[in-house]
Amino acid sequence: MGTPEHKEYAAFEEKVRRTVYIDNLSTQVTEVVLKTALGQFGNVTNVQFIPNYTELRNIPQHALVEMETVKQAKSIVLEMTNYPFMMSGMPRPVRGRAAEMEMFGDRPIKPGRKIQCRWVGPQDPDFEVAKNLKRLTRRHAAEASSMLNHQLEDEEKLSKQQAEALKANYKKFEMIESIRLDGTLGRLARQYGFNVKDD
Amino acid sequence: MASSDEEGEIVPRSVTNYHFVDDKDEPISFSILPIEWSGCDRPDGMKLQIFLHGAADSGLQKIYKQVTAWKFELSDEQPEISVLSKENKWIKLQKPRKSFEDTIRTILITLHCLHFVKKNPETSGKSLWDHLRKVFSLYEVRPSEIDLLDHLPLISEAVKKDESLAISMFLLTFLEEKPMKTKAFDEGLGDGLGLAAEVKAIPIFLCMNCQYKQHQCFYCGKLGSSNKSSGAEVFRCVSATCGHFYHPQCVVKLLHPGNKTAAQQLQEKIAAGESFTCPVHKCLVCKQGENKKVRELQFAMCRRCPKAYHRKCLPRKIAFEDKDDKNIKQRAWDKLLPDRILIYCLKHNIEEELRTPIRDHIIFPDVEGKKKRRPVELQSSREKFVTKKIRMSSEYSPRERIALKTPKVVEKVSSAVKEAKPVMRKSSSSLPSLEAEAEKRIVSLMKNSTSSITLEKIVEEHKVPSTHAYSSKSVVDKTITQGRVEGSVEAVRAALQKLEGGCSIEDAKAVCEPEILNQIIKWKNKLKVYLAPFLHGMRYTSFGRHFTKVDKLREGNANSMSSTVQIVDKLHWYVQNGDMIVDFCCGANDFSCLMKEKLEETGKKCSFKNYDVIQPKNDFNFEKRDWMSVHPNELPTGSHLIMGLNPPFGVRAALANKFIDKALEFKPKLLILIVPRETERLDEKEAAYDLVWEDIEKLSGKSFYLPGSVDVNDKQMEQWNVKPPVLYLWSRPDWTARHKVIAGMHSRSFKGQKELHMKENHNETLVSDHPLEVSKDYYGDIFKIINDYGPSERKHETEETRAVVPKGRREKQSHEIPKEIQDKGKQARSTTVTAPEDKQDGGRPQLSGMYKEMPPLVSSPVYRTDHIGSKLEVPRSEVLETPVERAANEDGFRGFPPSLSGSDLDFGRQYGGIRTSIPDDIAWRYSLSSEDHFASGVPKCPAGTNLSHDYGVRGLEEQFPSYMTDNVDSFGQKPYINELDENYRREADMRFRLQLYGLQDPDTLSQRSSYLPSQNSGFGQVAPLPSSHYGQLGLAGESSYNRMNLSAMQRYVLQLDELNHPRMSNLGSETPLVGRSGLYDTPGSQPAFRTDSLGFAPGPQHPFSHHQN
Repeated sequence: MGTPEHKEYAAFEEKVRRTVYIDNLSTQVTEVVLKTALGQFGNVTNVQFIPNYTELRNIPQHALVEMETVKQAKSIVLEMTNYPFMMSGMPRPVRGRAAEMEMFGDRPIKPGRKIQCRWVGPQDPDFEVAKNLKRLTRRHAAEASSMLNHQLEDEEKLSKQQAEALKANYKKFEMIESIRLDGTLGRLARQYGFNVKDD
Repeated sequence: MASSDEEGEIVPRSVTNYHFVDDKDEPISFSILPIEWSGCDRPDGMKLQIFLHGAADSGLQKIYKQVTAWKFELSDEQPEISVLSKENKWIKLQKPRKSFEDTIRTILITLHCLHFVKKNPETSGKSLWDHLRKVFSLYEVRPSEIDLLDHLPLISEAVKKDESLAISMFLLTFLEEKPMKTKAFDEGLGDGLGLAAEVKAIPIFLCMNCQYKQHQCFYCGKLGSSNKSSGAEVFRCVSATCGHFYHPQCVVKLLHPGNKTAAQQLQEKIAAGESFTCPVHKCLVCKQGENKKVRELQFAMCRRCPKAYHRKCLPRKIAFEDKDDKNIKQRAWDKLLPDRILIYCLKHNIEEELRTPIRDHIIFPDVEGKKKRRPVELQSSREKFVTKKIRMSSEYSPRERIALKTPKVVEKVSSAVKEAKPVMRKSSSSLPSLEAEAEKRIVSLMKNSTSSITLEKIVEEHKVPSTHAYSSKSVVDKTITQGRVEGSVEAVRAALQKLEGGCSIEDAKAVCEPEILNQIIKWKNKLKVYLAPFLHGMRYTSFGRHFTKVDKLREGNANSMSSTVQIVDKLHWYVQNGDMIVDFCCGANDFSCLMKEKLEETGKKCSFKNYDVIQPKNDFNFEKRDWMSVHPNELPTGSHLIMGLNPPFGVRAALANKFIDKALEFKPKLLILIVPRETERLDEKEAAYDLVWEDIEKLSGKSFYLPGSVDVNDKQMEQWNVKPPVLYLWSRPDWTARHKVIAGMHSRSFKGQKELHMKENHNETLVSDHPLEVSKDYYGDIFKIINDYGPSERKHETEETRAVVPKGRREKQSHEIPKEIQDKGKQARSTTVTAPEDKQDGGRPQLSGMYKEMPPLVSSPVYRTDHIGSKLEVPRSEVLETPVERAANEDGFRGFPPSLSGSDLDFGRQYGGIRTSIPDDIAWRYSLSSEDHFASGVPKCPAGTNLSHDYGVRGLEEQFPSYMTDNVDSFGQKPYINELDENYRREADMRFRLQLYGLQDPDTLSQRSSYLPSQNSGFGQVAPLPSSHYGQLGLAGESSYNRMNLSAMQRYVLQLDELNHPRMSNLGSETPLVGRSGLYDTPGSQPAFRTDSLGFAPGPQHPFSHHQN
């Protein structure tokens, strides 16, 4: 059991447990931002952004954030599930969950498992299987992409709605501010013989 | 009505700080339990399991009981509520837990309402609500009739069962009116208009009128376009609270009846868009405006047409009740509108069945078809409710826009749940396009997962910390509608215009009532809070948390740049072995860690407990808990508790108050708080705490940081407050005395930065001149610090900590000396004890008999002064008052150098004063240090306090002890009294130095005076001192006393370990002098100069000894 591979693999497993998968990150988020943001819950030892291979456009980023201890990682997931966690200013809640092994591109091979590559010719009995696998993979990618589209649509709607609400509320605020700032409010109040307290 | 038959066998019990939970641990109102009316059978068949949590026996016993029924009793002073435990015992409820108040808000209000009505059956709605608003003044939302709506059955039942309630007009009318209103509430808004579904779905609901910009003329009732941008036909009255539209030609008929030319002109103006106020804002009879505050001048307004009367002008025929004999029907209703009367004027026929005019008056642009499908009565009756409701809640504006909550959260989360599978091996270019089938599947999948998440579920799953439970969203969206804001703003403008155009205030008020102004401000504040994240941009963080910077928490470290004033360093003196330090909102959890470090350094063992709702980085003794949910039983008793530190503030310190109130439930002996100034002070609370000290300056500047946020340069973002919060130390009254002594001994205060600056400079010069090499290093350091950090970051603690480094080897020696000193000390103490002991409430048993015996030695300040005065052969008769005394001491201080060198009698005197005080200190210190703690120290502190009381200057206590503290400070650290000659040597040094300072005085003085303004007004007290005769230093003039004090001390700071003095003086700017004087007065010291000097040496010189080592 004590082979170097085993050790490496065990270390990797432990690392996975210490890692949080952060999803739906704004594209503006950088490693430092991430580190500081999660730094309030524990010590961040490593940040690794997952490159986006499937989509040609800017989609929310994903990152694997390695913490110092398993406990910290767990608490981060908990915090993020419990409260909407914003990163980089605007309200776009970031999602966090425990990392899984498959998320690591550089994961070591499980000891005892051997991966062999070979060409499969059209005559090979496995040819169909391989082809099916290939099709399935593409299909999954297409499905994911389409889902993403829907999601982005939804998100856009939502953000429009939010922006609207915000604008409306801000307009109210501005209206009030305008009469406060140009002194109308104060002057009228004085005429009425009282002071508007303003903080 | 309460007493049940088994009262006899029941031990009456009560529970306070209670709350109820159901079987899922959710808070729930007890009103859900079946109620037991006296004389009735006990209800049964309770499905829900409800449990009572709370404390009994004044907090000693924790209660957790299942309860099955409740009852109330109105005949006492307060409404009494009891619940029936499963064991069939009635438990009386006292005060609910703070966080639970909202849950039982409506039932409490209802009960108080019933109670009040029972006591005053004749009451009017107004006085009732006034009363209730007083009782529930702490609620964020004021009690209103809506609160009663939840408990209509209860109210009607109560009215049925209680005769005194049954005669209350208020309740009867309420019950009569209310059911209708409720209905309007439930179904009216949506269903009545056939819009229920739409209302729920749209984020901002606009009625058809607003949507299509078609409004009815309030005069002729016809619809007209109100769209100003494209040929409006109807125009809105400009009055803020009106909201009616009119055709110009209609309204001018009303405004200028019989004057065609004027009418014509006005009509044109209005049509051109000029603002106008409609006739509703003037009494039809007397043409005067409304004044809601004067009952007789309140308006009665017709619901159906533009007619208004003063209450006093209301025609008889518009009556408040039916008068069959005169064939008069009720047309007027009081108390339905706030401070107004609702009427239907004589123009409208009252329908027998409806008791209102026929309800066909509202026309929407588009929904006529829908309406006609309904039976007329139903439709019309519903409509009435609807309109009524809308108007009630919004002060009637047809232009009201009702916005409803968007189901945003749902969507957000739902999107979060959807699984994204970002890691794919294929590049998108080669993706096959999905067939429609698959596409559909995906969509339906998404829909499913979206719909599986409901807002309710989320609310249930995500427990919000109690502090965040309140959101102003609904208020901002629903109550403060754009239409209302627009209208109000416009009205304010118009009103001012009118006023400035020469109209009477009366007219202006018709346009814009004064209350509108207040309301606008309120709105603004609400919006400001709500929009804060956007208004303040990057200052907003993920959780909106602010942490106190570590360096504010940590004791001074000469290299730490902004170790401005260190809370930990300030606090650790108060900690005793075995205490528990609780940080109820620990943030990054730095405080406890630093505290622990510090306490370990000083050899104290304490436990820690840190709460927060968010996991900190450092989980040292951390528990993830909502502070509001921590039960007093979970922590040790209050006398072992020290609590702090930086609660969330909330708007107007609402959260801070909440946290503090919660903390007070634990009765901690000490509370250290960083809270905004508007926080309710603890000495104003029910169980008042005493202020040990407060520090206003410390947290100014960038004392906080935003966790988890970085600025553009990727640096942790700093945070400052526009108004810096204050650092307070509060003590439980029975501990106050001890804490004040400690405070006195260690007080470090923080002075205005300007002063600081100057003093520092001073120090620098002094230091550089300084001939004493011994201290070179030390000063060098400080110097460096000063230079490096500039004025704002100057901390005395830095020096202090160093100065205080214990020198173990002296310890032994020190014991030899104290005897003498202690004697002195006793004397001194005795004097202090003399005076107003009674003031220090009798409950200070620590005062040992000995002290009591001693008092007569010196009975009053006067005596003391005299004493000193005579000794010095300076006639001092005029100096009898305390301030003088202070002055004397002050002078003594200043005068130091000369007296030492023997040049001046006057100074000699002062010196004497000082001497005396010091031994005193030493003695105290000794007792403190040798007996390891308060045991002996405590007795003395009352004395100290007494003294200060004597002087009657507030805050004295703080200062006074503070002097001692310094010394003790050093003592606490052990070392102190050195060999005699060492002392002498030092003394000599000191003299030398002092002289130096003396010399420098003149110029500093001038500087000092320039700082006058920065000094606190508190100094006024000291001003009257006749200091001129105090010799050279008189230069400063008496007014500069404090200043002198400060600066002098500051100057000495370095050399004389008077560190505390500067601190003292800073502490509460007013107090310093007094404190010292208290000490110095002590006459006991006079006889023995030797000892005195001895005693003296260690105190002030202490730092030197350090260096010499």
